[in-house]
Amino acid sequence: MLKELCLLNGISGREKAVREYIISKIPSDCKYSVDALGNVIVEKLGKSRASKKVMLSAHIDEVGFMVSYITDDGYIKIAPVGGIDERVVFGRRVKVADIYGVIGAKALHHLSSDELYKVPKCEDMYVDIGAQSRKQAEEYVSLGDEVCFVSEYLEFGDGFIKAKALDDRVGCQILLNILSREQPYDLTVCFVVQEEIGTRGSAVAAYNVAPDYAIVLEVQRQLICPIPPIRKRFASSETVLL
Amino acid sequence: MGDRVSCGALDDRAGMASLICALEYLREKGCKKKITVSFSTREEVGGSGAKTAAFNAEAKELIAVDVSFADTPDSNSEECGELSKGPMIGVSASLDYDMSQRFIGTAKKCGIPYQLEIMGGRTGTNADGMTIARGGFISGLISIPLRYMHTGVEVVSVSDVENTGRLIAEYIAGGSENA
Repeated sequence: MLKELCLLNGISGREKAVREYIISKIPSDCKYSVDALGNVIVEKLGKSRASKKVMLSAHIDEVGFMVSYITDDGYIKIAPVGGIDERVVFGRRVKVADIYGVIGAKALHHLSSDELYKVPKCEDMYVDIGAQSRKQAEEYVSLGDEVCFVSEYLEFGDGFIKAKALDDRVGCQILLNILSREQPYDLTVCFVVQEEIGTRGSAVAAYNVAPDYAIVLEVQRQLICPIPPIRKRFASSETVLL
Repeated sequence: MGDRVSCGALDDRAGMASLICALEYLREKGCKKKITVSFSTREEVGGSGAKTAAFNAEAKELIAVDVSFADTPDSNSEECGELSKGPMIGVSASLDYDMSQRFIGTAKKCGIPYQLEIMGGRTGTNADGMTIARGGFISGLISIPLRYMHTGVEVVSVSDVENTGRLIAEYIAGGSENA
């Protein structure tokens, strides 16, 4: 399931494919709703009622780009959606809506000494979909179309995974696992949108759910200090099976 | 000259004017839908006025109206709209994509000139705070192209102001037909 989740395209604000996949995996004993922003809020009944309302959350959107301009020569200019490391953009394959493209800029041989050691900015790069004119490009793409990285899902080494959108489809996978198992207490599980552009979906989900406790499942840079075990944060009589 | 005017505070008094146009147009059309109009305060210092208004409003959809960048000789034309080419329909990761498409459909159906404004993240307008007020709203943004923003010599085209009002009115009057 993690591979399927990662290979789905869903930049912030365009999470429909990921949302529909997640909805298809919600067990039949759970009730769900979709709010105005597209957050999926799932109510799971546990064996007992909880004295406090607990909300678990992971975001379903990923970073990417939008088509911001089409040049006279048919190149696609892109606007980043979320925090993109520009070092990983040049030379990548992408999908613009339904069509493949490559991100290019001036060739190495033509770079000045000033340019040689600088990372190109997004606004200086463009997506080449093979079109020879704006008119031809517009037959395939439109302003505002989503642009997603093309990245295979690769298992390597001793249990490592390389893929796009592990941030935060890993969290989504864990939440789906939780929903599929019997839980001792009632839970609210939220798959939220627009995290990558300012944690917008979670603000709305939190208002709609109004939990007493909220746990966010996210990916993070490797920490240098150990995290206390989850069970120590709850009273021994109230535990969540993850 | 022509229908171009210059004044301070066209950001966002031009937006206010376009909303009044929209209301007059809707009255002529005999539209009976419930509409709440907020002429909000404090946008230039964080948007707290609009957030408060949105929190208190009973609405399914929100339309924010602001101004955006019209090109000048020294601007990057890829990032700007143009004066007198119609309202700029916002398409952004933080706006409802389907609503943006409905605005485009409305403009095409009603023969209203329009441009698109593509924003990868937030919009920098009241739409940002309003969209996530209370339990969230389906939101759109329509902007009037403007030169020399935040100066005392801002410039707009009156036809853009009128067309913005007309686009909003036609969108509201048309309802789900514009999807």
